[in-house]
Amino acid sequence: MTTTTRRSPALTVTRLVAPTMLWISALYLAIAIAVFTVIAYVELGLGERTDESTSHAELLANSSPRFFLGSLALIVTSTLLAHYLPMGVTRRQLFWAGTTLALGGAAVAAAVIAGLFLVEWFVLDGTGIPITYRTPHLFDGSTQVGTVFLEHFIALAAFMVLGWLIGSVFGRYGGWGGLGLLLPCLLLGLLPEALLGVGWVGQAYDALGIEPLPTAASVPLGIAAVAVMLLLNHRLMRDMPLRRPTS
Amino acid sequence: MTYSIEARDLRLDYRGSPALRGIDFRLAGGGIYGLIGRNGSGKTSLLSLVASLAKPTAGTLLVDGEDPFENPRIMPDVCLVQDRIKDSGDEIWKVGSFLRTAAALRPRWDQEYADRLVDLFELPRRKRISSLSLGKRSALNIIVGLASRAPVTIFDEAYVGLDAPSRYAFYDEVLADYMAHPRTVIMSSHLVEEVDSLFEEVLILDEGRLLVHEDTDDLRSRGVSLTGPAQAVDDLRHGLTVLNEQVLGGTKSITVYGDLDEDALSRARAAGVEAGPVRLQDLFVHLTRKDRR
Repeated sequence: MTTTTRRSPALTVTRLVAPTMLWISALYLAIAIAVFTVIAYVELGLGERTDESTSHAELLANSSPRFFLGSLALIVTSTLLAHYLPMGVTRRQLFWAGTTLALGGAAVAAAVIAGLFLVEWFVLDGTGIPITYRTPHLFDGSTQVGTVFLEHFIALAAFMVLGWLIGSVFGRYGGWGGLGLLLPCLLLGLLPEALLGVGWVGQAYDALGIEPLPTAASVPLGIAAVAVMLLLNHRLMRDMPLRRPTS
Repeated sequence: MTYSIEARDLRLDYRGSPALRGIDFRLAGGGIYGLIGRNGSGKTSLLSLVASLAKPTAGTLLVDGEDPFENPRIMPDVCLVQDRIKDSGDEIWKVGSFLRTAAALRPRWDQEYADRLVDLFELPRRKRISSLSLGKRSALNIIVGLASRAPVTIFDEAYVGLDAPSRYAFYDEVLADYMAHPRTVIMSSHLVEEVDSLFEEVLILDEGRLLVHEDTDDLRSRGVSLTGPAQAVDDLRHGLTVLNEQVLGGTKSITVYGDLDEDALSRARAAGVEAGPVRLQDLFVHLTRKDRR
């Protein structure tokens, strides 16, 4: 007789789910990077420059990755509960697995984006084309890798946890209840970016003449907003039933 | 290792309507228990509570003396096998990866036994679950249930998709593995005739209430089957509740509910009528008949 010993179910579930998420995300990122590289080549390389800002890494980072990862996270609760609750994993352990997946996914994507900023700087350095950004950021230049990573990690984590939260709300309260709570969820999900004062929210601050919070305050507050969404997810998941037909 | 299961005034509401209406029972553990009931009687609801898939609305449920809900000691040791892979989304998985997942998460998983069962039920490891026939999907579920060696193993109509030879192979396997590794096995089914010989105790649910919880032999002794010359059998049936009646030529067989006193039995034997045990299925049908509620 051979028996297995179960070590840390949360980590085991993370290990089982992460490869699928990574493959899907890698495929998406490869396509997105290829598309934005072609756009950058046409605009900058072939002299089709306009007055617009030059950073295409920023263009990519500000757009689809957060929505893609947020969409991917929509199914975290339903997937984890349906697959692993019947395997004897508790909801609390599944919450930690979901947290690891969301924050880990955001960290990997933020690292890739920080790398893209660096590659862009490397390519454009010496060409005479200055790197300019469309929206405000915590960083001033693409070589501030740590700050680039931190800003995008918080923004991506916020969207991933938001997607997860929306999935949990719909799972818990059904279609109509979920729709009713969608707007508060979205506002909560946008809060970290609003606190950081970056991206299109930062652009809106500029237009309205609002001074963003100092980084020393905005970063901890942004992280705290993500933590609040995680806590809400925990509250929603902790006694969520797995609904199946009865007999 | 065996776990006891105890329920006290256990209730579960589902979207405002009661699925379980206050159930009390105690299973000492270390036995094969039958849970039978008509469709919608609350069998799956009760088993879902034992497996912590849902939380009771009220009442107490104890597995090995502890509340199983979100209990990291109990939950891995309760394996509920349902014939519903399709609903859970697991159908995108391959057979091999599904088994590896179970192996990683079930603390008492027996890989050698799982491999033997995969061969017995001729499951293709590399195929996607979605491409398997209903019978093969049932077999996959059953393999997980048996090889998990969970102290509480529950088969919730998990074997109804199997063809007859595979079902009998499954019954043999349950009995053999239970003898080798005693644990608490609960089998829910409406194929009562096929499995009643396995049950040590039987619980009958009806409309969310526990109608019967008895030792299987005691339950069977609540009735008797009488087989013999039609006229002699008819003479005996007066005043008795007949559950089932079959006629073949001049021979008649009836199943009656209730005690038959010694005098009546003596008269029956003298008239060439044989008395035998009642079938669990007949009792089940009688006890859950609508006009009896």
